[in-house]
Amino acid sequence: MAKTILVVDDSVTMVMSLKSSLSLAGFQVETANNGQQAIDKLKAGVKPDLILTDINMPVMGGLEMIGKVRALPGCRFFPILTLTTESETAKRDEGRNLGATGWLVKPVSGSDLLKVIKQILPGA
Amino acid sequence: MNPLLVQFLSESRDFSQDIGQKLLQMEDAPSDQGLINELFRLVHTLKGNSGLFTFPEMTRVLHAGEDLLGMVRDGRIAYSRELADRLLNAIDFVMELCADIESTERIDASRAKDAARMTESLRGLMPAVECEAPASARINAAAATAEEMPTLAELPGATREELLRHCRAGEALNWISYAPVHDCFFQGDDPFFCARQTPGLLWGGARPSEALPSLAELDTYRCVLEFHLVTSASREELDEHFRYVTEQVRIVAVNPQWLELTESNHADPHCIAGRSVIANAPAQTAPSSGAGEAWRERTAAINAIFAAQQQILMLDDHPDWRAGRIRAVGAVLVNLARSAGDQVAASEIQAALTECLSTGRNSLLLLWLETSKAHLIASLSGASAPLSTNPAATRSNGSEEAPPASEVGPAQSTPGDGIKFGRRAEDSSAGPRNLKVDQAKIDRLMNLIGELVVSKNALPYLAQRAETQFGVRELSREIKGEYSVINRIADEMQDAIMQVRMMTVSSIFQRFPRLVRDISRKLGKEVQLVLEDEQTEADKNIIESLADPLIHIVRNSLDHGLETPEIRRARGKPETGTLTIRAAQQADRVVIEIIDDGKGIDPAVIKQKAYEKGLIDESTLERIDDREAINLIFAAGLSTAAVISDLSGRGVGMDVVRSAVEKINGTVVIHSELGMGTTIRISLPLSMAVTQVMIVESDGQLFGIPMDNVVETVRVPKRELRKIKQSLAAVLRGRIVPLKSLNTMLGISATPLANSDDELAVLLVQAGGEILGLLVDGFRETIGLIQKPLSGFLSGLSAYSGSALMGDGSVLMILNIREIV
Repeated sequence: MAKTILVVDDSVTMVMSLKSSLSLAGFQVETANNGQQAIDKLKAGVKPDLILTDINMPVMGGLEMIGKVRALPGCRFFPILTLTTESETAKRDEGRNLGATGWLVKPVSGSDLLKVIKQILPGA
Repeated sequence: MNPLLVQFLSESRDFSQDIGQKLLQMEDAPSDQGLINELFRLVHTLKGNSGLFTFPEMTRVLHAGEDLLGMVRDGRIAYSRELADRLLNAIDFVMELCADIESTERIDASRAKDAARMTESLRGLMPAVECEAPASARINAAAATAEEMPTLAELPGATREELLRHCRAGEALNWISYAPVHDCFFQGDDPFFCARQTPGLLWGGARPSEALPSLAELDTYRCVLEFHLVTSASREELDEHFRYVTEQVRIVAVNPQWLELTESNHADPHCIAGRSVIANAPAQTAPSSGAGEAWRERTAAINAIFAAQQQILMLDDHPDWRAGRIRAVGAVLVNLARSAGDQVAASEIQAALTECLSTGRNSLLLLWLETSKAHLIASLSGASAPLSTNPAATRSNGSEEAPPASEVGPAQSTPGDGIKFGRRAEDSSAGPRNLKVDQAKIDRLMNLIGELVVSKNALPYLAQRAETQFGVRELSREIKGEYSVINRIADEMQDAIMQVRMMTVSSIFQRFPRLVRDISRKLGKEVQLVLEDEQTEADKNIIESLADPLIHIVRNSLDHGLETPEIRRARGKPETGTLTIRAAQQADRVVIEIIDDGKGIDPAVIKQKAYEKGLIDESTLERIDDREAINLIFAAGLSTAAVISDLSGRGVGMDVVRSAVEKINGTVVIHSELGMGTTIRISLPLSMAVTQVMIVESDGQLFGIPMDNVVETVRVPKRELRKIKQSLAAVLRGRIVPLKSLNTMLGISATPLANSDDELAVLLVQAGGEILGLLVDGFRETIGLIQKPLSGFLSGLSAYSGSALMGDGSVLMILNIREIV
C-alpha cells in the first residue's frame, strides 16, 4: 500500500512542489498549511507514515507542532522531517530534541527528497 | 505557464503585499516581536519559494532582506524608517520581478544590476562583520586511540577473514559504532533500519548497550541497543547517511591489522551468541574455509533464540504478564517461520498462539517448541535470508505482530485525551477550505446566470401566448408552474454566485497604508491612518470600481484637507492628523466613509468660485445653504485644487469621483465643518450585476426604474392633487410630496391617464435625498435583469442609465432618476 506523507507548509507553492514530487514517486500525499491544521488532520484520523514540515508558519509553527504531534496517541514513532534553510542549524537541533527525525534543506530537489525518505522510511 | 509558476506568482504577490503592510505596521510598533517574527516568516517563505525556480535575482534580494530582518528580530540592529524604506523598495522590486516573470516567464538580464544594488542597500544596513554561525558539530573524526580501538576481535573468524580480503583488495573499510539514544524511538528514529541501510554494509551486529533488565522491567520504548557495523562506504557517504544522528555515531577507519587472526583474539562463541547478526554478506557470497564456521555460528544463534523463547514461556514470576509473553513469543516464532519461508509452521504457531491466548495457558506453544522447532531450526540454518527479526527491544519494521504492543499501547494508556481515532473522518473535511479560482471563470458563471435570468423571463410570455393565442389553458398553467420552479432555482443560483464574487474591501484598503505614508512624507505632514471594518464585503466589480475614486479622495484629504504639523499646532490640534477610512454594510448597501480632521471646506470660498466659474447664478448664490455649497465641489469644472488649497498640482476634480461612483449606482455625499474636518460618504450597492427594476407604463411605452430609487407605489384620486405655485403636489402619509409627470420630464406631450376610479398612479421615488412622486399611467411587475450601459450613439442620453432585454425579446429602457429629476 502506498505510504502516506503529510506535508505541512504555509506556502502553497512549496506544498504544491513537494506534493507533485511525492505523488509522482507513488506516495499518498496529505497537506496542511500550518501546524494546527496538521494536528486537526491527525486527530481526524489521517495516519501518515511520515510528516514533512516547515518550521516557520503562522498559527502554529513546525517546532510547536512536532511536540504536539508526538503527544498524540499513535503518533509517537513515525518519522518527522523538518524543512529548514541553510542558516537554520539551531532549528534543526531544536527539532530533533522535540522529536523530529531529521531535516531537509530548502530548496529540496525531488531526487534529494526521495533519497532521504527512502533512507528513513522503511518500506518506502 | 507551468501551474507551479502561476501559483508561485500569485502567492508571491500576496506575500509581498502582506510584507508591505506589516512593514508599515512596524512603524507604529517597532518593538512588536510578533510582528517582526511574522515579517521574517513572510520574507523567509518567499525566499524559500523563489529557490524552487532559478530566479537568482529575486532570491538574492530576498535573502538579504531575510538576513536583515533576522538581525532586527534578534535585536542586533534597530528598526528604523530608513530600514523600512529600503525593505519596501526591495519588495517593490520583487513585485516588478514577478511582473517580468508573468509576462516573459523569466527575469531580464538587465535586472541583475538592480538586484545587486538592492542587495547592497540592504546589506549596507547590517553590521560590518557578520560571522557565520559555527557549523553544526561534525561527526567525531578523532583517530582511534589504543583504548578506542574497535573491538573487531569480537568478530567471528570467518567474517574477519572475509573483511580482510576486502582490505587486501584495496578497499578502505570503516568501523561504525552507532549507539542510539535511549528515547530515539520518540524522534521517529528507526536505528535498526538505519543500520541496515548503511551504504556498503559488509557486516553488522547489535548488542545491548547496557545490561538488559529483567523482563518485568523491560521498557519496550527504550532503545538499549548499540550497533557495530563494518562498511566499505567512504567517510563522506557515511557522514551523509548518519547526519541526523551524528552525536550517536563514531566512525573509525579500519586498520587491516586489527582484522588479522591471532590465537589470542580468536572468537569467543559465547559473545557471538549474545549478538544478533544483522548483516552477514561475506559468509553467503563467498564460500570459503569459514563457511562451516558461519553455519555453526548461525545455528548457535538460532538455537539461542529458541532457547530464549522457551525460557520466556517458562517464566512464572507474574501471572499478569503471561498473555504479553505469549504474544511476544508467538510474534517471534511466526517471524522466524516466515523468515524461513515455512508457511505451514507459521500457521501452526498462529493457531497455537490463538489457542494459548484464549485459554491463558502457554502449554500449546511450549508443546510446539518442543516438538517442531528442530525442523524450523534446520530450515533457518540453511536459509539464505538474513534474520529480519531482532528479539531485543528494537522497533520491528513492517511486522504485523508488533504494532499491538507499540501502537495500541499508548492509545490505551491515555484515554483522557478523548481523541477518537478513525471515528471522526468527517472532521477532516471541516475547517476553512479556500479555493483560488481564476476570475474569468467566475465572470463566465456570472454571465451565464445573467442569461439564464433573462431567458427564464420568456416563460411567462410563453404561458400567456399558450392561453391567449392557442387557447390551451392547461398548458399555460403548467408552463407557469415550471416557471416558478426555474425561477426559484435561478434566484438561488444567482445568489450563490453573487456570494462567490463577494470580496472584502480590505483588498483596496490595504493599498492605503503605503499610499498615505508616501504622500504624507512627501508633503511633510504627520498622518495617522485608521482603517475600520476592512472585512466588509461587496461584489468584486463594486470593489474594483471603488478603488480609483477612493484613492482620489484620500489624496485630496492628504493634500488639501490635513494641515502641516506647524499649522495644526498653531490651531491647537494634535500635530498628527487622523485619516479614518471606514466601511460598513447598511442593508443592501456598502457605505464607505473617509474622514479627516483637517481644516474642512469653506462654503463661502466654494460658492464664490462656483459663481466665478459660472456654475451657479446670482440667485442661487444667495439662496443655497452651506451644505449645498459644499456639495458644489462635485460639480464639473470646479477645480478643487484652486479652491480649497494653495498647494498646487495634485487636486483631482471631485466631479470625476462622483461620476465614477454614480456609474455603479452609488452616491457620494460630503459633510464638512470649517476647521474641524471633512467626511466623505460613499454609498454603493452590494452588487450590481442584476438590477431589480420596476416597470411602469407611460404613454403606451414601458420604462424601467431601478428599485433602489423606488419608495412606494400609490394611487392618488385626482381631486386630492394640490397645486402649489406652478407645480403639483399631494399630501401623502402626512407630508407634502411634489408630483411630476414622467411624460413631461421625458418631453412627451401626453397627459397622465387616470384609471376608472379617476385615480392617478404615483410612483414615489427617491433621488438625492429627496422624495418625489412620478405620475405614470400604470404599474407593471418588478423584474431582475442585467442592465447594459447604452453605448455608441445612445451613450449621450443621460436620462437613461441603460437598457435591458426583456423576456419577450423587447428592449426596456431604464431611467436614470437622478438625471431626469
